[in-house]
Amino acid sequence: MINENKETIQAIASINKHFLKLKNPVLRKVLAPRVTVADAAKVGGVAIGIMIKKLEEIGFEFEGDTPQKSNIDNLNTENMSESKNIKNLVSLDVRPTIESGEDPFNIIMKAVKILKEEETLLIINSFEPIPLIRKLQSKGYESWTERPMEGEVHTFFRMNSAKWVDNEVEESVKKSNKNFDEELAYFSDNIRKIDVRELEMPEPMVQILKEIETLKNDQALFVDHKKIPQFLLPELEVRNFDILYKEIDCNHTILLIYKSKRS
Amino acid sequence: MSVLNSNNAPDVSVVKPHFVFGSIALFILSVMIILADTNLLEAYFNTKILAITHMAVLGWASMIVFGALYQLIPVVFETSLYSEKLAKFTFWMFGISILFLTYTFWVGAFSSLLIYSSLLTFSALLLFVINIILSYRNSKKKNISSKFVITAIFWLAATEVIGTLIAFNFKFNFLSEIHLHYLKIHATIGLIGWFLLLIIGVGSTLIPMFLVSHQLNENKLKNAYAFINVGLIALSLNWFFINYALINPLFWLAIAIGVLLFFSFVFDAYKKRIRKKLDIGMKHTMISILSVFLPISTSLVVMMGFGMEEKLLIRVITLYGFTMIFGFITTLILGQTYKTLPFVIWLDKYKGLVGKAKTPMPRELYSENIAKGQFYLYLIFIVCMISGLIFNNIWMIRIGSYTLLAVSILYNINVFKIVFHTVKTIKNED
Repeated sequence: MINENKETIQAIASINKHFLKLKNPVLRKVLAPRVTVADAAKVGGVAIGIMIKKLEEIGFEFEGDTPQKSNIDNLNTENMSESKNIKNLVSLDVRPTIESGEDPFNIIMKAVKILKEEETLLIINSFEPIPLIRKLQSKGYESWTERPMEGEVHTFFRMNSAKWVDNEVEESVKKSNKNFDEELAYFSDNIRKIDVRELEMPEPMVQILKEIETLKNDQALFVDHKKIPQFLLPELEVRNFDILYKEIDCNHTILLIYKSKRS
Repeated sequence: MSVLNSNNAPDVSVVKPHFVFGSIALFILSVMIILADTNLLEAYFNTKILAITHMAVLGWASMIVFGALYQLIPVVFETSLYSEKLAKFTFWMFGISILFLTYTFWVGAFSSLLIYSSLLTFSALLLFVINIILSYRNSKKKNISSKFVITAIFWLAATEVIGTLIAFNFKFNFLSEIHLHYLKIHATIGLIGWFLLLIIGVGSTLIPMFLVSHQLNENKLKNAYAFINVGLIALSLNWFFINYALINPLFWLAIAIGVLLFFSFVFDAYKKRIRKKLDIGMKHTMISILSVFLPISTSLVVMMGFGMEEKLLIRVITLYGFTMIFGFITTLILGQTYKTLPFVIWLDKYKGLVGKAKTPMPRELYSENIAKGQFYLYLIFIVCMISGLIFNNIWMIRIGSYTLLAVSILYNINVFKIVFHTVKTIKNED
């Protein structure tokens, strides 16, 4: 295990170095706890489960880049069943549904609904269902992925309990790597739109803060604004909302505001 | 990736004192103008007019401009102020130095106190300049508005240097030219380089924002920037080193074209505005922008002379200063106070409540009627003073002076109403 552990630390460190290049305040905030996880594991070697999870995550984040990839993947598969302690597995193979040309989303969500707390849902698919993972993570499920063979991906979902803190870290790292369009696509059906370009200051700010009061956790607010609303930003942070922006031209900036997933 | 640095706005304790000091300075200024009385019709370099001018441009105009600029740095530069501590320290130092400097001029202590008061003022202004330049270095947004602002800061530094040199000249007499010549350069680059460029920089951001106008032609601003700066640099170099008066009209023309380009930019914003009704702040602002024709024409008269008799010419020079400082700058500041200060205080008091409860709007923090009264009285003041100066009529000057006193009292009432506003809310029904 020690050898593998070393690799983990190296792998995480390499990600960190890569991330450090980005002068990104959110990333920095997020990375600090992440390094702590790695350090903690290094020092104590306690949270082996977490370590393995990290490894696995790195395995698929660096897919195609790292020669050791298959190594790490194999390791994951070997250790996964022990460390995760899976009881009451409910499995659902969605490949036939996809082949028949249908969207398996609703079937999966039904299965999730009837899933009991001590049960784990296994989704068998030909690819990693990232949107689904995000969706369910935002609802408090933890998930992990295995690749038992080429072209087959096993994704596990379980109601999250003890590993909440760890999940948070993971979550925010993923989020901060996403750009505006991805996030927009993620919220696609759950977007409320307002245009504040024709309002006089400080009406835009008032309108936006009013809107987010009734915004649900899985909803996002899409705003057409003239510019980046400098005085709104601290208020969003206080209210625990994240904001992404994209400049269309010098008189038009679009904003995406949603409940921060860090809490 | 689009992650935003979320807290660029300065603390309210940085901005607020500037407005309080500025409004009290306006009151002191109006009292000084009443006391100066017939001195106002004498040569512009008399001690009373020098004291009044410095109280007006530093204690009143620059003080409020500093406060407003600290607040606007996130908007114009898209970065935070370099140091809030330095800004607070600068405020106290600047405040004291203004009182000291104005007193020095008022009592005419040119050979004794002036050197100290001008050095103190110089240091305070330098700290301000440093704070803004260091903020600008972190700026992500180097557009035409921020270019105007930062250039204005450099002209302010140049104004300080020349002003301080004049002060030293009284003591040591080491400059080759008479100090009036340097006073002319000092005043010109102070009014045009510092105030005009700053107003264009901040105004080109704020005016379209308040009028809610889209799709404006930035090229006008870029050309204005080139014309004004080239004209002003050439004019000062000529005055400093060559002093060949016949080419000055060329430089005057360059600056005037630049100002007209800015005027045309604002006029576009006005025509394309979505908010049709102008509130009291924007009424002031539009009158101020319109009044820019007064200093343009009076400065032409001052430069050409047109064979006027000496006594009239001297009053026209005072008139030029008056239309610039009171017609243009003060009108704008009076109006923009109603746009910025209520917002600053409102943001501070209501930021936690917005969206959750029904809050008043910034414009409900002051009395609209007092502001209106102040606006019309101010117009009377301008008309009285201009006619008093042209026709050498002390009674018009006196009526004007007392009108300004009334204006300053009304303005102070509103400023203090805003500053000491207490939170009022109605629970949201919906």
